[in-house]
Amino acid sequence: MSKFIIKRILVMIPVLLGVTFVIFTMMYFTDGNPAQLILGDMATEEQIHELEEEMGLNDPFFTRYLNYLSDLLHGDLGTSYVTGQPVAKEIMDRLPVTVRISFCCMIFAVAVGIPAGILSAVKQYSILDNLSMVLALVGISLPNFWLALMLVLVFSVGLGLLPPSGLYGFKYYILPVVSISASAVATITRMTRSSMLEVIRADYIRTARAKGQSENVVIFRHALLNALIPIITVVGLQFATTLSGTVVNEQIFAIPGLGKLMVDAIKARNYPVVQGGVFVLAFIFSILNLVIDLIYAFVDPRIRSQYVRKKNKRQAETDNRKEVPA
Amino acid sequence: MSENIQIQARKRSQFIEVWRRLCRNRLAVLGMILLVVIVLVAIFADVIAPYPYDFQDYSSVFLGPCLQHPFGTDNFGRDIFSRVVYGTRISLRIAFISLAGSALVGCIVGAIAGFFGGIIDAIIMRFCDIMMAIPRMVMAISIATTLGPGLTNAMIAIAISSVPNFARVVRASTLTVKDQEYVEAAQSIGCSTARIIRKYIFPNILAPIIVQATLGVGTAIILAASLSFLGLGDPLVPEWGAMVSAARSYIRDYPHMIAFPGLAIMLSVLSLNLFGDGLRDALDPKLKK
Repeated sequence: MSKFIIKRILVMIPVLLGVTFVIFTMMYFTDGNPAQLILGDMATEEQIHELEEEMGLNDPFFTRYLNYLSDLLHGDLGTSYVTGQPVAKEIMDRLPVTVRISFCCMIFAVAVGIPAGILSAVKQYSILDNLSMVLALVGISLPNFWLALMLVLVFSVGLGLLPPSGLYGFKYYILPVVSISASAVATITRMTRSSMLEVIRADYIRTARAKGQSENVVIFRHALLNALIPIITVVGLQFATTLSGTVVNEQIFAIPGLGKLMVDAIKARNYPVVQGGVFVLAFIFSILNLVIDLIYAFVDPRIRSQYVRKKNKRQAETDNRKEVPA
Repeated sequence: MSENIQIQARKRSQFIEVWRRLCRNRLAVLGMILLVVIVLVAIFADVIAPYPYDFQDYSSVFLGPCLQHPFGTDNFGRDIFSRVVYGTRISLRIAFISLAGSALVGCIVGAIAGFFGGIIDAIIMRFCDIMMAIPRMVMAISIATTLGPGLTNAMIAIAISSVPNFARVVRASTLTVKDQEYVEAAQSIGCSTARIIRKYIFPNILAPIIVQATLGVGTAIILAASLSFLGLGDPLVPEWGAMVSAARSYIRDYPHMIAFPGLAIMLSVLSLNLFGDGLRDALDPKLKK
């Protein structure tokens, strides 16, 4: 197992290197001269040239990329144009809040989505099933920033039940978490339902029922465990949605997280902060994907055994990929 | 000659078969009707909208929904209904153009990866992995930031960030058909690779591409609205996301300014999702249980 973990981490490295290259290329082509942006409109031509030289802006593309990469390895994401502080520090100050919110979102999405999906599948075509499917369809069709504003409108402005902004306690988490995770809840519900429906018709379920197993055991042990792989895949993919959702919605709820930092930076054309934030989000997402892969191996003994046997490793990987729905 | 006719007839019958299955699905039909209405609204925006989208009337600001202004007016006295109607045009244009771009690139790249396999496939797919390591919305945001605000740039950002999804779907489908006898036959009579991909592989993998595209338009609309909401669009144009963003400061007193553009986004994405789901079931009856 440890061998598999190490291998999986080694696979992550080239991907992250690629991510740095993509981000650097974007930074390279960003319009606006960084030296000009730092010094402001009042700077003279010479001052700008001097700073350009000092920052290495006149170096060739790959020299600059290598410099950027070595800075990155030393934990240096550049300097904020606005505050003059290191970007890494600004991001690290804000990151815990964002991670906490995304984590709550995923827990909420799984805690609501999977039971709702199971219920829909078990009671297929009932009112409950139809209702949750309609809600799920609406959920994936809503832009989450609009849902956030509508929730604020109803629960804060209208009913006065929940605070509209800030982050000072449990109550403050409810609206952001619900609005960000709505599409994740919907997607997980849909996937759980279709995956359960596929499994529930299998022969081994009939066998389990025939031997007099109680319905609960049939559903949770025999059906759910077998339906879990595609559900886990979707849960993993939904991390991307919630991370993106926090970027947009933190702004609305005035939550001092990474997302708000990035959006403020976009408005101020403070590019190092934006690109640093993108890198950190990609990094987190990659680690989450790693965790998801480990969970696969944990949940499915077939995958686990394939990973243990060396020669079947490739096969298992391709099989895994195939199961990711388009 | 008679062969040609036969092929024609078979092609049509398959299309009719899919169409029939689609029509039996009530939700898909609902989605289709909604979609047609939305497209018609976009085309006939000039006729439907009672006012030009930038017509300001300072004697009637912040009006709630009423007879003259079905969706009310905004802080400049502009008719929100007209703006939402014109917004349909903008959102659909952004979504369709960006989607067409990413579908084109994704199909070519994915088909090449799937058809040739080996090192080319490895390079292309690793590049897709890299692109997909960045959450899609974050990717779109950073590309749009790089290019600067503006609708064209938002379109490019959405298109680029959607390419890997298409490439993956197309590659996977290409892999399933490339070893079929008819591809082999085409090779044996000396068809060029480009021709094989165009004439033999592409028509046979069209179904998943169409489904991906339909659902992709919905995602593109949401992405476009989100980019505009973050101020990466064009503030002068009545784009739905930008309208919601501009109305945010009036949420306490004039919620109608936020509600209607958002509803428009929701309805258009919903119609696409309904239609896309139905299309997927209709094109692949095995999937429908």
